[in-house]
Amino acid sequence: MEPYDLDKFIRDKVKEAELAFPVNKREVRDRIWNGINRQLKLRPASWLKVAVLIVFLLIPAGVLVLQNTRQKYQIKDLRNQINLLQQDYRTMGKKLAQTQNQTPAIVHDTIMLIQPAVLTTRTDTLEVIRYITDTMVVYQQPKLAGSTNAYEDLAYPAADTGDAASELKHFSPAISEFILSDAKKDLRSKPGQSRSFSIIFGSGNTGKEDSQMNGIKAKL
Amino acid sequence: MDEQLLIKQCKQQQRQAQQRLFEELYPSAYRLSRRYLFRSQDIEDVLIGVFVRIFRHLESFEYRGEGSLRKWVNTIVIHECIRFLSAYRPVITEEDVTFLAAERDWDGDPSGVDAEQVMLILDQMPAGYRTVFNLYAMEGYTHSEIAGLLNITEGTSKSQLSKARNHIIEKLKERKSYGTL
Repeated sequence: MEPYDLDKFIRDKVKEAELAFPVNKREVRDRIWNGINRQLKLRPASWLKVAVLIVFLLIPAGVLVLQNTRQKYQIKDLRNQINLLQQDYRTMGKKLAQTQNQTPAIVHDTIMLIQPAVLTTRTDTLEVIRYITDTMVVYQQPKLAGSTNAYEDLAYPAADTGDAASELKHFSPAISEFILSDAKKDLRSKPGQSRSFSIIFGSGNTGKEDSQMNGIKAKL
Repeated sequence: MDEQLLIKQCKQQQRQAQQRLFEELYPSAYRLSRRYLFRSQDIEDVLIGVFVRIFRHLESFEYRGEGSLRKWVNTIVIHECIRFLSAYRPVITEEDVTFLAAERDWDGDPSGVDAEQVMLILDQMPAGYRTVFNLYAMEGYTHSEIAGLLNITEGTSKSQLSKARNHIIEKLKERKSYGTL
């Protein structure tokens, strides 16, 4: 018999066998259909899911980045302000001596020392106070014999001829007390708003009365 | 339902129509893939791929009368089966075909050989033999077409077919001599 006949024989037998194949098995058919369905549905859905997932992941991350950036700018801004204030008060300490003849001395464009310890400021008063409390270095004159207040002490240091009188005593922090004459309830005044209160510069170790006696009244 | 209408509805992504088309085409697709693969899990995997491909590419199918869809689907099934078989290693490696194996004698008397035994012989054949034999003897592909499909030379295709036939004859003879027929 020719090979063709072998092929025909096999072909017939295969077709006969195929009739017995479990093509009507519901579970196999369902499994295949579910697989097809899954793949057909998953294609667009997977893109959507991925997109939604990315958005959900990016939103908090973006918010965090924004917050972080904002905080960085705020911190940078505060650092700048602090640096300016530090410069102001370093200068102010030196200028105190220059104002003893009651001539106004400009300490900084935002703070002006009009007379000994009388200050005007356009910065946040609370920041000023906090800074003064923490870091300010004040050169205080020893009390002159017979003087009754600190104005005299600072205004006329040269009047004292004793050895102690010519020395400037350096101590830090030097503020013993704030006397808030105004805006006590609203210390956080905005820069540019004028607020008036008194600061007593002094050693702080002699009680209120002594402190006032030895201190300097400052107006912010 | 009219096949053409069903195809149109499937193109419109109507899920019910797609299911109906699947139900209609599934038996023949299963039978065809079974010629190339014998593990039921493999057949299921291939059929999922086949129908996904059908539904995704149905837009490009042109209806040319009765039977055209089935022919198109059969081509996809065969392609998917071959792709599956060659996913991990080539179905057939190129070989020296200077001397084609002489085909064995076949007395043409396989009386008593049942279909199940023939299927068993085919299943036990190397995948290369089985694929070429199926394409040539069952589907009516030419050696040239087989060569293009399997990325082999025509000579290799002829050689594989010859070996496949010898293998079948040998197995049929074995069964006869052992009294299994």
